[in-house]
Order: sequence, then structure tokens, then C-alpha cells
Amino acid sequence: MKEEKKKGFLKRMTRRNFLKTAGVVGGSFALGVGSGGLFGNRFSARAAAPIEIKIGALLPLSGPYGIEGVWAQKSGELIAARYNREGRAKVTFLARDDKATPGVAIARARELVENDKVDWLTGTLAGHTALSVNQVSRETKVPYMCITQSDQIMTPGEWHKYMFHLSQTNHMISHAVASYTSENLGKKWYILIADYAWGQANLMGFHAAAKAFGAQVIGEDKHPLGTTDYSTYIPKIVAAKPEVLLLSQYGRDEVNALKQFHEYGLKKMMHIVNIVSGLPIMKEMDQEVFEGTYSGIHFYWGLQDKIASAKRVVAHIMKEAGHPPSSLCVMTYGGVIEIVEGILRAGTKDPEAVIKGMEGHKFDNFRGPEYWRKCDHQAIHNYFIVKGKSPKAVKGEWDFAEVVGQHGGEKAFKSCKELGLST
Amino acid sequence: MVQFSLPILCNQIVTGVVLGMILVLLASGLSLILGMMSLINFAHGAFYMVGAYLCYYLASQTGNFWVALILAAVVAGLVGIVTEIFLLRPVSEGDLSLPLLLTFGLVYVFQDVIRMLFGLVGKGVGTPSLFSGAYIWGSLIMPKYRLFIIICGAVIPFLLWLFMKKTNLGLIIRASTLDSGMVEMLGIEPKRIRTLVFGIGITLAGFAGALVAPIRGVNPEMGGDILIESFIVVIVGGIGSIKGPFIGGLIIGILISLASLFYGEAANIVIYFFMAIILLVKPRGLFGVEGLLE
Repeated sequence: MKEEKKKGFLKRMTRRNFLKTAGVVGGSFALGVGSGGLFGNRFSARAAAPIEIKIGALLPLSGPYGIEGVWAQKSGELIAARYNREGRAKVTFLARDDKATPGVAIARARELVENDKVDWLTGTLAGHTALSVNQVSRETKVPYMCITQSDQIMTPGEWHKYMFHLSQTNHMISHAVASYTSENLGKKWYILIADYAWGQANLMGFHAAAKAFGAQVIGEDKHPLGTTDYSTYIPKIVAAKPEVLLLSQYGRDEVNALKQFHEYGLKKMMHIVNIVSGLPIMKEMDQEVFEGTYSGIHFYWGLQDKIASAKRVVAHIMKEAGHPPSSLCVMTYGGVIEIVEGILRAGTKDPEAVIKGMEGHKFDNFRGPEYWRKCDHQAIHNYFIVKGKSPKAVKGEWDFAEVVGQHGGEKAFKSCKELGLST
Repeated sequence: MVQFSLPILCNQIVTGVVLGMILVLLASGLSLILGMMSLINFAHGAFYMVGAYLCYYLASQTGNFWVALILAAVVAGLVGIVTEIFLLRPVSEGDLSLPLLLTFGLVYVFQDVIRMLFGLVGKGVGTPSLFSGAYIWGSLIMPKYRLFIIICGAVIPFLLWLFMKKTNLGLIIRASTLDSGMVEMLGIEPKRIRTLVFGIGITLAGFAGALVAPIRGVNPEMGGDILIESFIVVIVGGIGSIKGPFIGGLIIGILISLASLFYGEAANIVIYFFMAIILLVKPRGLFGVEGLLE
């Protein structure tokens, strides 16, 4: 009887049936139905529905800084899409135009919290709009991943435990730029700043750094924000004969100033160092103008040659957006990663649990190793110095500069004690 | 710290003159349109921006800055003529606020069109090789291209003056401003005169934009601040005269420059104070023509 059954089974197990059976069994294993496999994670994740995370971003999507905002929005959407594709989390990235105006930023941030029910806020480009978003975060206890530089946001009056500061402080960037300058370019400085809160904060930082590095400030000027002609400041600067002209300008101010300093031949008389620059700004200048000038920068895509995480981000954004990432792009991108990974580690969206898990956490998302300082939620990281390439050395549309220095770590930031902050 | 000295002061005045000449070019067209058409053209800065972008585009296409400079002014002027015929003319007979609102709206239209055509990132125009570099006389540095701007700022208002005072067409324009009915009775259509005046004014704006493209950033918002400065020049110099914007522009340029020397933060504010004083002492401005816009 047994023999008959066996024969019958073998008879029924034709070559075709065997292939069918093997296909189903093998396929099941390969797809990870049982014990995981090539697509195991994906299917396991499907089994347990991925956590849904809504992130609301305030960015300048129009106006003079529109290009920065639009690029950053795209970067945020790209990283959200990657999480969605991988199935580890279902991330919705909602960008709103803050028009780089505090009043607009506060209204849009409230809408994101009250109407869209976002779990986290992020943005902005400008320090004063960051303070507006920060206010909404403090009131609503919706955590805020701040991606712009600000000293003020790290003061006892503004700081709160629901805020994480991924970007730099003015103190940090002026310290970093001054450190490189005093070591490599000279110690006789003339300072020219845009006369508003950001510039004033950088000026204080430069003076503090001058003391720290034994440099001498032989002159300083403040120009109104949005000045289009800097020629009127040049005679005084030239007469002072500094070794270095330190600038605190960003955007169109920087473009106009560097154009005119080049026109007047200042680069032959002194080094020109700007505290911060960005990819779209470099694009606006002739390379001849940018050549030989130094700038601080949050992130430059050329870092991909030195930092593995930078290489990954640059490749992703370059492939999808068609241009290398700017500083705000990677800040937005990296901010989303930190939010999502923080939630995934905590296994919940409860802000208290997520914050606790993020404090002291070490990560490397785009600019090398860094960590969240527990006492004030400041990301302790590096700031970079670039030098404009000569037009002949430029290779391709986006090749403007080479990275010549970096400065950072705890020593570049004020301690929590100095800031008067502590969790 | 920097010691103030006579050479620095002289340097400062020279840089102020250059700055003033840029304002002269822009304000001349603005004053012409305001004086001859009684139209406050809020879009003047936008046409200045269009001139700069045309210069960028034409220079990159032809590889010749000088061709681009001339063509940019001409094309901007043609855009101005089309704007006057199809947009301003239909509303010029109605409420006085309509042309005002229209030109205000045009600022946004032009900015957005430029953003769509050229993208959000600003553009750079190189200094023509003929004028690259600077002359250095002792402590005075004078970029060659700025010297060219001074020449343009002096020659163009002079040519405009010649045109207005010494040609029949100039005479007709002036007559049309004072009594358009009488000019019409003589068989000349005032509408055409208005179109011509607007075209000339916008050509000057386009030329100014193209001229500054090598020394300033070219971006969609570049017309905003300079428009305010140009209005101040027109108010200080006086409406309706040609020497008004010329003298006004020089004064404002030098004032900004001297303020930068002594107190940089006040460089922008000082011109508003000066304008207020002029308005109190001479309400028509320094060389304003009696009866215009009154």
C-alpha cells in the first residue's frame, strides 16, 4: 500500500510539478515569508505597519532666497521618499513658504501644527524666522529641528527642551573663520558687517575671536542690509591697510560686495574672508570674482571627497535634483533623518521619549561625526572653510571652490555653562 | 583705527560721484516720464532689471558686451513702448490711480517672468576686457569701468537735454506736456508723444540696468531698492528738468558715500533726511518746473 502511495506520489511528481513546487517554496523563502530573505525587511515592515511621521518645514520658497528654499524643499521630499520606499517609516514632508518674514513664519508654523497636525517642525533659513517657529514649538510642545544658525535661539530666554539646533551659532562660525584666518592669513583685520542682528552677533564673535587668537581689529564698518554699492566703504578699508578683510554678509550683499572689491583690486592688497557663503550665491558670481576669496560654509559638496556620508547625500540629491546640495539642502535632509531615526529608535512619536533618546546620540548624516550635546541640544560638529578656485581650475557647472579648512568640536561652541543653559 | 584725511575724503567724493552717475541715468528716465506724462512709474526699477537681464542674455549669446549693452537698452525701450500702447494707454483716460496700480503690478509680472525664463539663481556679467582693472593714482583707486560709467552719466543726460531743447520733436514733447489740446489741434497725436516719452524713459532705465550688470548682481529683485533711491533723486532734483536728476543724483551719491565714511549704518537714512529738508525748503525740488503735477 505504502509502495503504491509512493509510486503514485512519484507518478504525480512530474518534472513540471516539481518545478512548480520548488518555485513556490523557494520563492517564499526568497521573499521572506517565513524567515526573511532578500526582501525580508520590506515584508516584515509590511506586517507591522510603518510609523507615520509628519514633518512641517518653514522655508523661504519665494523672494530673494527662494532658490534656497525650493532646493531645500526638494531635499526634504527626497529623504522622505527614501524612507517611504524602504518602508521603515511613512514620512510626509510638508513645506510652507515663510517668505523669510517672522510674521509669516509664525502663522504658517501654527497652521502646520493646528491644521496639518505635524509631529515635528523644521526650518528655516533666517535666524529671525527661526525664533518665530521656535516660539510656536515652545507653546505647542511640538518639537523643532532648527536648521539655521542663531546665537539668540541658544539663550535662556529663547531656548526650550523641545528645540534641537542642528546648525551653528554665530559664535561658532566666527570662531571657526577667525581661527583659520589668524593661523593662515593674518592677524590685522578690518571687519565689514551687514548691520542687523545676524551681522551684529557675528561682529561680537569676531571681536571675541580676535582676543582669543591674538589678532588686531584695525577698523570696522557696518553697512545697511541690502546695500547695492560697496565702493563707498573701500577708500577707508584700503587706507587702513589690513592683512585680512573679514566680512559678515550673505546672499546678494555678498555678491555685490565681492564683485566690487574685485573691481577695485582689493584681492591684490589683502585677503578677503566672508563668514558664510552658499552654493546658489557662488553660482551668481563670476568665478573670476570668487577666485581667491575665502568663505566659511556649513557644507560644500566637494566634501564628498573627504567624508563618506557627504558622498552619499551628494550622490542622492545630485541624481534626483540634478544639482549638488546647498547647505540648506543638507540641513533639511539631515534634519529629517535625525527626526525619523529618533522616532524609530524610541519606537514612539511621544516627544518626551524621542527627546530623551536623542540627547547625547552620535550620528553622521552628511558632514562627518557629530552628536547632540545633552545639556542644550546643540549638534556639536565642524564648520568648513573654502577658497574660490581660479576659473581655469574649475571642472563643471558647480565646481567653484576647494575645501581648505575645518574647525569645530566642543571648543568652537560656548559651553552650556557659558550659555546659561541646562536640561 | 583709520585716520580721516584729505585723500580719503577725496576718494570718498569720487566714489560718490560714480554712485551718483548710476542714479542719474535711472532717475533721468523716471523724471522724464513723471514730468512729461504725469505718471509715477513704479515699474521703472523692473525695466532696469529687465535691461540687466537682457544684457546678460545678449552678452552670453553674442559674446560681445558692447553689442549687448546697446541692444539691451533698445529692446527694453521696445518693451516699454509695447507696455505703453497695450497696457498704459487704455487706462490713461480713467482714474489717476489706475496707471499707478498697473505699473505697481507690472513689477511683480516682470519679476516672475524673469524668474520663469532665467531661474531663481541670479546671473553674473563679466566686466568688458577693455575696461577691466583699475587706475591707481596715489591712494585713489578708480576702476576703469567706473570711469566709463561717469562718462555715460555725463554724456547721456547731455544728449537728452540736446534732444529736448534743440530738436523739433523735443519741442513738441515739451509743448504736449504744457497743453496737449493745442498740440492735437496742430495735427499731432498726443498719444504717440506719450508712447515716445515712455519709450525713451524705459530705454534709459534699460541702459542703466545693462550698464551696472558687470558691477552688481543681476537678479529679479535688483530694481527694488534703486527705485526708491531714484525717486529721492527726482524729488531732490525736481520734476520736469533734465539738470534736476543730474544734480540730484550727484548730491545723493556723494551724500551716501560721505555717510559711509563717517557712519556707515546711516548711509541709507541720511538721504531721506536730506530729501525732507529739501522738501521743506524748496517743495518743487532744486530745479523743479513750476506747474508740473501741481
